[in-house]
Amino acid sequence: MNENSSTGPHPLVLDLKRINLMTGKGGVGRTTLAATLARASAERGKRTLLAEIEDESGWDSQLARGFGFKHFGVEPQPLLKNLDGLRLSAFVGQEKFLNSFLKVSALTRMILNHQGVKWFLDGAPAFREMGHFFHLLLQLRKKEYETIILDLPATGHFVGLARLPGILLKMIPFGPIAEGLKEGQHYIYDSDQTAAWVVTLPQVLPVSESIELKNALQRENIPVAGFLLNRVPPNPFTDDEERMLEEFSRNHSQNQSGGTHGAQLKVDLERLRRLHEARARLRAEGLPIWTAPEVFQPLEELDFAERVVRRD
Amino acid sequence: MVCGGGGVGKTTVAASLGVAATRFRKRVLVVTIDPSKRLAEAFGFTQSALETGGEPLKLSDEVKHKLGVADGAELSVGILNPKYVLDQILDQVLTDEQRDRLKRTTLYSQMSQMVYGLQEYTAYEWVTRMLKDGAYDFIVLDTPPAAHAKDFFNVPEKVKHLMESRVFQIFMPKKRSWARAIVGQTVGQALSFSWLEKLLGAKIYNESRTFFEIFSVMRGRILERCEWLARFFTQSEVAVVAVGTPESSAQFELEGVTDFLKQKGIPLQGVILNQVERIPPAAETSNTPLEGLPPELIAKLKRFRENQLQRAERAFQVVERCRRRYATEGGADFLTLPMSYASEGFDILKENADRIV
Repeated sequence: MNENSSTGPHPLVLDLKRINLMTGKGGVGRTTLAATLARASAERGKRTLLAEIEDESGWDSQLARGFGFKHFGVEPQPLLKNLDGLRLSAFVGQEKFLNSFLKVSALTRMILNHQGVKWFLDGAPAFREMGHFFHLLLQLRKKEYETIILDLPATGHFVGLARLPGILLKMIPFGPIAEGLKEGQHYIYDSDQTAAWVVTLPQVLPVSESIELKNALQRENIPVAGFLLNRVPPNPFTDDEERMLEEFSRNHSQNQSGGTHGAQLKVDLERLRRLHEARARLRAEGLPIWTAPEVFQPLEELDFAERVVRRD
Repeated sequence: MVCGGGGVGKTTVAASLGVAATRFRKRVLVVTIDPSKRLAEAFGFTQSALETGGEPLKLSDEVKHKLGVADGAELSVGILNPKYVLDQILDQVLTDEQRDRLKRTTLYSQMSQMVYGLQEYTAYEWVTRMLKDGAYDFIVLDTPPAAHAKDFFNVPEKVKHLMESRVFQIFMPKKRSWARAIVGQTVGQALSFSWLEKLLGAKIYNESRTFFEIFSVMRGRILERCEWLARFFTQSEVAVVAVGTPESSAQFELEGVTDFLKQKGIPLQGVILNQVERIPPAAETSNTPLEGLPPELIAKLKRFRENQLQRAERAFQVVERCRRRYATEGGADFLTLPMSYASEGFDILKENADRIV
């Protein structure tokens, strides 16, 4: 903790890189943390871009809703001081890529607006992802932002996305697509520029899945900077006190007079056990861990100052 | 069909529904098209054991006993293996010569790795076969998380469009008249081979032609299957159950899923709210059961329980809101499943199954 907090926001304990990939399975609070970190980064005077991948089915974006919009624009739109939001769109990526190749935007537009081509790009695997990839690449090229935070879709899909450039490069080793892919890889594989953060919860299955995700990302050469353990309940107990509670619970179940309170104590101890186990398992992976407390407001009502990410 | 957002314990709910169903039906199958390992683990299998065969496996008597599966009932579990299903389709539809040529293309060997594009397409073939086989009385299908579940329901339409797409026909050498059918001559030229060849390179371009040419043989079959499936979801034998938790992001996704189903005209049979936190008893009124513990420890315990209490209070409000929205007003069945603190996975399924029954 920084003692000199009266001079402004203390430095972010999390070492954000220029490109930050927020990953994690569904329901772990990834989006909330992405928004929190983006806001914290902007408050510290960094030009920050908060980006997400479009949801083609046209649902409102949960991330954008947290800033009072239905969706972010496909060009960066101002959200707060120093903070812009962006929706990565497959169509925009494909269009801009074709433009750079064909050099005639009217022709590009005609091709992309052709119904048959639309269906093809929509239905054939990989073309959508390629569009997202190129849309992101255009932002990376511009160097307009000091910090980019990308809220990525749930686990499996992102690993697919991360694997994509490598697979495509095998299929298309030369030419303009290959050049673009290589350029993108150059950014994303560089640990000086990029950090992937794995968001997880102090529960058995989410921890297992986050470790698998971390391994999958590392296999794809994406630099994983650490785990963000979210919704960590405050633990006021010392080790001795926990032992005392455990012993008490054991004695209780023996004389069976505990009733609902005895059962509740078991629940308390199970919650503590899950917390310790989650920490220990993540620590064994050899990466730094940060923790964030549980918050009970939805994103749009959240007071960001309340939410503190701490080094574990 | 079980659908819902990510992280709501959808797979656990699907597995629990399967266990519960054995009390009423003899041959029950739980299948997932989600590549997560949860379903295999929930039933004590390794992922690879289920995936390599590509066919569902029956649970052992030992596991059935632990789960409380009814006597005389069979419970099988399967995980989609897209490559296995794809190869099966190819075997049925293509000649040996076509199949070998297709398998030699780079595109084929890479496509099976790009699981996400292929998964939904193959999932349909697989599920359809299970249905037509008639080997099961009751099937629980665990769909991918929310956004992908929508992709899943949209697959018949999407694949149909793709198959009918004229761009697809560029790669079919016999149909030379495609250019006339396209909007105008300019677009025709833009889509001509030299453009693609330049963009993709000669090797991949030629392989793509082979790939699409052979793939197009399967068009008829895929189109027919899609039309059948588009009607499938609205049949009376199909019940769609949406799963959520009291968590606000899960609520957001649950609303999205149910709205989407309504839009598609797919009836919603039920809503299950999972991981509903119970209200813990207040520590200060528990002097008798906590007798013997130092007062400051009891005070700390109270503070520790506050977090659970907050979750429980919020859950209570959400449960009431959902009950009103989905059951009272929406006419769907409504059920809550408690947050489980059982340390053994089988116990969670068993507890859930009892409650579902």
